Amino acid sequence: MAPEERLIAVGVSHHTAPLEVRERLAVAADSIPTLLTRLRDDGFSNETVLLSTCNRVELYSVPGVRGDANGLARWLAETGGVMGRDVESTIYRLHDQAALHHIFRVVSSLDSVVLGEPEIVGQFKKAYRLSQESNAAGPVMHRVMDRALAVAKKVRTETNIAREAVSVGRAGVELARQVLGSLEGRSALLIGAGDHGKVVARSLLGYGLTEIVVANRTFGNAVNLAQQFKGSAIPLHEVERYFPRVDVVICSTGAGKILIDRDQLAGAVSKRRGRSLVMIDLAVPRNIDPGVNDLGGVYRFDLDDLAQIAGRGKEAREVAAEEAERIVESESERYWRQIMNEVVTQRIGTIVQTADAVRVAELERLRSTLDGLEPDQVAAVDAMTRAIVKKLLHQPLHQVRTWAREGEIESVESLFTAFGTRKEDDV
Amino acid sequence: MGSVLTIASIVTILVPVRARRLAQKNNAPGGIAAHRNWEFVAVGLILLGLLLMGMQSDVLPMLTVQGGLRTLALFVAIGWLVLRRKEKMAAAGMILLPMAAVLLVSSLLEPPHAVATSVGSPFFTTHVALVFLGLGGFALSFALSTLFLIQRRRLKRKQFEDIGQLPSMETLDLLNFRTQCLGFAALTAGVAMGVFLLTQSASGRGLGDITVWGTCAVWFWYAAGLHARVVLGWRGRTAAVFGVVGFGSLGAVLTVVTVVFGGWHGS
Repeated sequence: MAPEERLIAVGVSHHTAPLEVRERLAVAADSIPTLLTRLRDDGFSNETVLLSTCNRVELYSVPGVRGDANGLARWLAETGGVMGRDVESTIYRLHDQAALHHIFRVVSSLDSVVLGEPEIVGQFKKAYRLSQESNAAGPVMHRVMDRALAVAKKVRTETNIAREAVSVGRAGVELARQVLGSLEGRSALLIGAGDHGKVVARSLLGYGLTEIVVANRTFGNAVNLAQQFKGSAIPLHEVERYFPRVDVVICSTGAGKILIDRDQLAGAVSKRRGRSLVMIDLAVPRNIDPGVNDLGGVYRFDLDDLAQIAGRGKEAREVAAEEAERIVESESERYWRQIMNEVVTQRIGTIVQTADAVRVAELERLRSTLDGLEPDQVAAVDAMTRAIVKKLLHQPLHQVRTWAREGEIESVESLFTAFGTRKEDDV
Repeated sequence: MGSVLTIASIVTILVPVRARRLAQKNNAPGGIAAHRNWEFVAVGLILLGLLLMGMQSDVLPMLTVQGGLRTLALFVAIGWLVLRRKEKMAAAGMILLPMAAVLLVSSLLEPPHAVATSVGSPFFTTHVALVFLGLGGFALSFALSTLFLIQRRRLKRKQFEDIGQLPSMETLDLLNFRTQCLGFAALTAGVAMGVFLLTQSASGRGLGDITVWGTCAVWFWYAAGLHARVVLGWRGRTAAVFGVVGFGSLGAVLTVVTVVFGGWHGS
């Protein structure tokens, strides 16, 4: 394993991969525990957090004996069933401080489609919780995740990035109003219980939407959600009956397939007598056939569209983001140095212990010779050997601390290798 | 003097259009607000020109092709002043104000001559006024239909940069319906008045008059469109296309009648 691979982040995001690739690599929440266990059992990763959202799929890993960045990237592509050089080239691989910096940026919403959007923190916490429940998060990941969430909180409280953010929900409202005008007296059908769907539905209600109908695969969840929105619940198989009636359809399920296709909707459109229908597909993989946009009076928008709308306020948030980037940069640097100092201190302790063990063993070997000495003479020899060891180690250990402070990890590793300490003992 | 006033009104009516273009180019949307009063000045100048025409002639200005075009320009400009009170309607001005300017320019190319029959009849005056009011309504409908189609195209093609500059599609569709209704009601009353005049006329005009046939075609077009909307629920894009094609046909009828047949009702 290369010395720079203590912490690895691999994945794809909206920056590197189109929606088609992201939706192939996306992992449903209920599959995550199995995958995390497999990663550990196969020796790819000792500790893992898997973050799968609409805009990114990322693995944060403390690699195992078989794990390296390329191996994890291949594993990610294989899991999504999208092998090939083209796809692998969209997967980024980050190590150590760069990985830590990336994690801090992601949770601080600096890498989000909508700069400063609030949903990422909840998604990040959920990914971490799943990792904890699957026993996939160890001491390193606990510390990294806790610190990442603390940094995100600092960014949100000390900068205006969140205050200026146009959320996905607000973007959905804007698009719906651009088609339908006032939302008063309008009705919506919410399919699924995805986070983005709930956010958009809540925003629409805030702008005067009168009625909301919730459909979900698990009827009980639909009832619970409908109670939150003061709406009504229907079983998933009944949604088609509502297409001629409602004005907005929001789809946000984890079904992983198309639920509403063009032909299915065409019949309903003919019954609408020309009334416009706004369809917002927030699911990844998509739930609404993009072909429905070709139907008269139907306007289909997906996450990328909402991001485009939200991106229009980007300029104002970019100013706040500059300050946020500085915070993330300084926090990641400071925290990485702290981690490295801990690692170095731990290894130095190992070296000192080893040297002392050698000293004690040598004294033990000479016990028969030393037995002839007076106790104060034995004590003097003991003190002398201690001093020799200490003086011999002083300069290299002082140097290794300096290198660690300056971030010269390779030099640190070379010296530790010379002393024969193993990296697997770290952290 | 009349021509000078018309040229002045053309210039003033185009000032806000130019200002808006410059504001868009310099990304300073507030810049157009200072030029909005020019639209009132333009309407005043057109009105003054028509009054002057009336004073210099024995017949009402709108009974001539030249005066008729200026009357239509006046209705279009007034319609715009009413429409612009709605939020985000500035873009409609970019269609209606140049349209009014084109009508004014066209009026300069045509020498003034009155229609041949029933000039003195108050029924005829009412007939012409109603027809022009109808045409004004259809001109507004054309502008709204065009904006609807532009906005629809942007939303369907995910070109979201400027969507906030136009009203919602529902608003555009509703206003399109209302202006078509206004135009159709006025045209229907005008045509009914015209039919009444034909029955009273001893000149034998009617079946051989291209203006009558053209007007009837336009009337049937809008009647079919409104009927389909009310009964069959044709809205949105279909209604907008109807509005654009209808006004395009109307413009073609006016041009053919004026240029080829030498004036309305063969005047």
